[in-house]
Amino acid sequence: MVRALLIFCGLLSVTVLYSQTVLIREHSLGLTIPEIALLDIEPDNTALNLSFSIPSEAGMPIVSSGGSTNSKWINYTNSLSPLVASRSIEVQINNGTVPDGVELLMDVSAYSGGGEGAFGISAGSVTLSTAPQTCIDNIGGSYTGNGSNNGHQITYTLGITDYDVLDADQSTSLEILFTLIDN
Amino acid sequence: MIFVLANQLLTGQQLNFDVTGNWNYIIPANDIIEAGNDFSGTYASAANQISASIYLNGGWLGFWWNYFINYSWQVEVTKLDIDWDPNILIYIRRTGNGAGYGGGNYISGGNSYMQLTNANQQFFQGAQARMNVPVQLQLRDISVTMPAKTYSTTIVYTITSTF
Repeated sequence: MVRALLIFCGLLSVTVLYSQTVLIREHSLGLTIPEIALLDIEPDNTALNLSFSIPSEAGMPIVSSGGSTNSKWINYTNSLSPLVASRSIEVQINNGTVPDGVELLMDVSAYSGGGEGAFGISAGSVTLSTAPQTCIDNIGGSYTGNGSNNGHQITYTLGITDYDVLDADQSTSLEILFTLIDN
Repeated sequence: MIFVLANQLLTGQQLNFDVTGNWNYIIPANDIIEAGNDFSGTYASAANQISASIYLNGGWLGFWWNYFINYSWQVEVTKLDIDWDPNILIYIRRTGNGAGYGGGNYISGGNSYMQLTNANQQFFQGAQARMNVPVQLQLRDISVTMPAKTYSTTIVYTITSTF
């Protein structure tokens, strides 16, 4: 009995020696990146106050007071489906009326800041109206960075189109609407 | 007679390598709450998202083979891309030891995140039976600059066991 057991153990050792087995197993890994379309005005959406400066010399034109106090920054984050070529930002006067003889201009800078990706192309200067107009076009997958000094700087100025109808008592509030849309 | 008997007794056991689980992650849209920001970019699965078991079974001894036969093994891992952005990095690690059976059982390696590539790499190794080894996956460098869609790849584990 003992001998048989020893033989069995010997065979066991021989049988299992030098044997090698290779097995392959697998599983799936999936990742879904969602579409993102976020737009923001920085540093905040508080009102800007635009006015005309009084000329220092009679005969000189009335000009809009300017400077950084008339500016904001547009931030966006854009994640695009392959089915959407790009996005653009439209701007319009959503509420209120520009005084007679006056026009409201918005300058849009080229992108600057700490973001990454395919940034939009500025339309330059836009004369605002109640009709939507593209101010930034061809935005690809990108993020501008958050806050002021990231994205596209927008600067407002007032212009005079007709001195004849100007009324010094005209003051009004306008609401400017920005919309991020698929192209 | 003894040889025939022994041959009958010694056959039937086979190495089992069970890998269970998968991971399909959807980045929540509220991952970005402020325009201008990118995704947080790094996402990890549950610590035990994938479970791996290595053991002998079958024949007349069943799981008891693990107590009578000495064997060692090593696990390699790679990925086989189906539709994957090469800029999205996949990392893998072993987050626990599982449970060992059989004399001299051990498991080592694979405790730290390693980046998966399209070539086999050593993941972890050990000896004797090892059940329910937890494995975690991590995705890195995901950005809104990548097309918004579903990406897929296959994680392939190869075990080589020597008796």
